[in-house]
Amino acid sequence: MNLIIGAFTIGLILSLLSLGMLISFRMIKFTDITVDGSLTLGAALTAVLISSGWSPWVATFLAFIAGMAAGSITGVLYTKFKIQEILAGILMMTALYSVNLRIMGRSNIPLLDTKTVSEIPEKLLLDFTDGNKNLLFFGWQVSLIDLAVFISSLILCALIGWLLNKFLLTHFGTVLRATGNNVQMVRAQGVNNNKMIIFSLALSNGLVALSGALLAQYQGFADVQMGIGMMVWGLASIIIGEALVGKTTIGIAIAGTILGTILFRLLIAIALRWGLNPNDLKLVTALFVFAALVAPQWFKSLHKKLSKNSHHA
Amino acid sequence: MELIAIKKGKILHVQAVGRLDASWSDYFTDTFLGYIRNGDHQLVINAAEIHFLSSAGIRSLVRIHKELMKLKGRLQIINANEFVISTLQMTGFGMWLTTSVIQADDESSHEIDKAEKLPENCYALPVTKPMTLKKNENWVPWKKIDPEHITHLHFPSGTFGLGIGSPVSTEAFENLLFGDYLAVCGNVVYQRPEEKSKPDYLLKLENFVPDLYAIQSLYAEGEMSHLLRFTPNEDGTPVRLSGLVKQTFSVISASQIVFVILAEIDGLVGAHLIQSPTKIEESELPTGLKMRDWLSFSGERIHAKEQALVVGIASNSFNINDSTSNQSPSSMSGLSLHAHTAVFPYQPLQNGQINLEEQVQKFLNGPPPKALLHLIEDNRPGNGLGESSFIRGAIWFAPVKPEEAKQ
Amino acid sequence: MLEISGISKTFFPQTVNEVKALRQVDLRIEEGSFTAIIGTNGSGKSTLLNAIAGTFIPDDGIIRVDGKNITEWSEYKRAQLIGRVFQNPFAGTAADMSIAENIVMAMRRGQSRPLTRAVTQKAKSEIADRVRMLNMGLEDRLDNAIGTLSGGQRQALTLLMATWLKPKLLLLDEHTAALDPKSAAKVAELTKQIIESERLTAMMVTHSMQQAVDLPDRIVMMHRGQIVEDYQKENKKRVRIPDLLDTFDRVQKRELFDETVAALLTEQYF
Ligand SMILES: Nc1ncnc2c1ncn2[C@@H]1O[C@H](COP(=O)(O)OP(=O)(O)OP(=O)(O)O)[C@@H](O)[C@H]1O
Ligand SMILES: [Mg+2]
Repeated sequence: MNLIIGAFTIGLILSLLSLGMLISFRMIKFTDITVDGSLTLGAALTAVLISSGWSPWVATFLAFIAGMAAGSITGVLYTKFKIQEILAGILMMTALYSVNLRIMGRSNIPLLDTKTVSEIPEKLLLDFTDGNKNLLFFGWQVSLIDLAVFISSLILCALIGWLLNKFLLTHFGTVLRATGNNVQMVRAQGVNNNKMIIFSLALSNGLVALSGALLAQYQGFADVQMGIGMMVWGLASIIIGEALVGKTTIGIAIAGTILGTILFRLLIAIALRWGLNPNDLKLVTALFVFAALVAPQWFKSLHKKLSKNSHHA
Repeated sequence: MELIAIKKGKILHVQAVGRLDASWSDYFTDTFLGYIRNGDHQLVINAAEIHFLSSAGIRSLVRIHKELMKLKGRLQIINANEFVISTLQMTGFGMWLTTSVIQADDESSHEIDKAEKLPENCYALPVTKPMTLKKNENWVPWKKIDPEHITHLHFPSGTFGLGIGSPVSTEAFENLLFGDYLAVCGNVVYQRPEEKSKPDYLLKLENFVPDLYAIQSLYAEGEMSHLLRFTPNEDGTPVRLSGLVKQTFSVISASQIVFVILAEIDGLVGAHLIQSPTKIEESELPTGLKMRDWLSFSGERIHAKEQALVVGIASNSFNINDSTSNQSPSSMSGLSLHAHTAVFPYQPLQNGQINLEEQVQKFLNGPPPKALLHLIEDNRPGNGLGESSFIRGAIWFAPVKPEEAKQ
Repeated sequence: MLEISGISKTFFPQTVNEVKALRQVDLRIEEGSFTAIIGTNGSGKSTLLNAIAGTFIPDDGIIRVDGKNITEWSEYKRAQLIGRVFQNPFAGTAADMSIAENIVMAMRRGQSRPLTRAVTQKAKSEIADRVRMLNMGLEDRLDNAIGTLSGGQRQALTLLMATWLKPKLLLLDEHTAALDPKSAAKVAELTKQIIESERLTAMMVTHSMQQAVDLPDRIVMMHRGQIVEDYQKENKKRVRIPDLLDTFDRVQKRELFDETVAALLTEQYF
């Protein structure tokens, strides 16, 4: 049970990463690799700040701001300096690697016995159970602390998902979505599409960094390598979410992305449990995304072939 | 409706099969106008298998009949069935019906004796006043124009001319618009020096004699001595201008001729002024692309299927454009030619011997001319357009003595 | 209203591919006039419209609207003044978004985009009212993605969007060319209606001589990046399709007149 709650919690935390990527990949259709760097950026900054005694809330918020800054730089590289989108992301990601090392001062910061943002719900829950640290849940032993983290992640995730949905349906959000659809049209409507792209990348990477900040607090450490492959992870989650519930409205797409992330995390947890070598994890993820990208086309051509054959018969 | 045409002597027999009604009358008319255009003016319709004839069909026959009357041709209908006969008779067109085909009059039979051995389709004309030629080259291109360059020319019947001139007007000299013109049988066609405008024309009327201010002209006075009728070459190719002129030199012995052509056009290549030479500021011929501002060039073979009225002079032994030099003709054809042509909407010409004055009057009093060109032989290697050519028509010509060189 | 003086645009300057798409073009467009721009392919019609709309900044020359110099304004800034419909029916709308969302964006063309809900019930009923006038039954499909509509329907909606807020200038670039004849006729009719009822100032690139003669009150002909003919007022009333074709011919004839022709005529004409 702890395993499942853990997977759910990590899934919820990472769904902020996926939501960020939903903005860049799906809304403005920008293949943004900055993600790998900005996740670590959020984690690193939070870890350093918390371990030097800052409030975890402030640290988390600053991580969000730092992510936004990173995203805007990628946006500026792309719009003002006309660097291709992939290259702009790679440049930023590479630069962030050094920045993150600088922030942390070394490649790994542990966060044991420090305060985290789940402190308040923990306290509330402890009050509720009269200090009992474990809870019997349908016959399962559940760590109260884990439960508190889970609940706070759930609330945060729901809140952000709800806000994002609201935001994307505003006038501003509508033109943001249109920017990924038809730049020419957006310009003809008097919108500075470059600003739109910069803003979207900022928001996207802000959410990614936020996700990193929470992940560091949950795992109890920040590592300079922790962002590697996260972009593909997020992509896999979005694809699963779309397969699960579709994307007929913005709300559904957001909910799907969160569900997709959780499900993907669960699948990984189960696979690891069944003996998947953690070193192979990234390869499996990449293969999965590859399959998810190729399968629709492959199905289509197969379908065509089949129907052709049936015509011949 | 199906039409099968067979030529028997001078007569074209057309077997018509089917219904001649509103849905076929246009096709019927067009096909027959095509026969007429090809020079068949004696038409016999074998109506044995015309099963139905409506008013639209009769209108079509009337149209063909009218066209043939203009050309002194004849329409006859044979083998008509009861229905067609009664329809035609009731509507008053019984005169087309015949039981046996009337042979066409041999158009050349009542012609003056062909003493000088002339080629077929060539007619010698009575001449009381031989052709003389006056050249007026007061203005030499590309001098700045001054009033002394201008000659006031009159064009009564019996005169021919071409060159650069302006209609007579009370305008100040600088405002005269000099453009290309031709004059034939007392009429003048003149192209305003503008790219857009259609040619203007002055017709001989009662006592009115058209006149012009000319700065360059070839002015011939007298009567044409010969008429040559021509059709496409044996291999069906159109007749080229130089080929036609060469034929005339083989009929008469002369070193220079004046000619008028009336013919259906295969394609014309030419140029005309689009800015009056009064606008010349430097006495220097415009070179290269600057010439675009002065001349418009046809750029392709134009005005196919329309009718040309050409006035020109030609020499087979010297350069007519430069009488002071003894150079031989420069063009590839071995001829030196200067010709202007007016373009009219198509009207068929009668076969055989026709009268120049009458024909010219027919065209000038009909729909207005569409264009006027100074003909050019485009012999540029590679992409040259060649020279102007014609499908069928008539050329009248007369020998003229080369003028004494002026000093 | 619109005043263009001496604008030039060269693509790929100083290379073998150099194209002088606009050469010193001068044009004045009066308030409330409707001008057709015709010309052969590649004559610079779209480039002229793009220069006005601000897709690029011309190499040379000045563009003024109501005396205001807008030469250096960016494309999106000019959208306050200019409504556009493109040749490609897919260019003017966001395919994955609904009809309502697309129109809502056009309802604030060139204005701020606040953080309030875009597609409200009120906006929707306003949209339905205007869309109903197209007689295409689209008012019942406001939530459908625009990408599911036909080219003609999309083009009609784009036109509606471009004119939702009255633009100072409406630019139409062959906006009926990619449609089947029936839809093209319908969109052309709609264009005329909207321009007349709203008294818009409009410029329309077209390859249809019939449209050029029928719809506008002025015809400008371009060739090789220059305006070679300008039929206005009385002249426009007189002009017929054959006249336009003649003018095309003349312009092309002039084109064929090269150095070799000049040499030929020097020898034979004079
Ligand atoms: N963005 C561009 N980059 C390079 N060349 C361009 C560009 N836009 C236009 N051109 C060139 O400029 C010239 C004028 O093009 P333009 O599109 O304005 O022509 P047009 O009159 O609109 O033609 P059409 O009738 O085919 O639409 C062409 O030679 C074209 O190839
Ligand atoms: Mg174009």
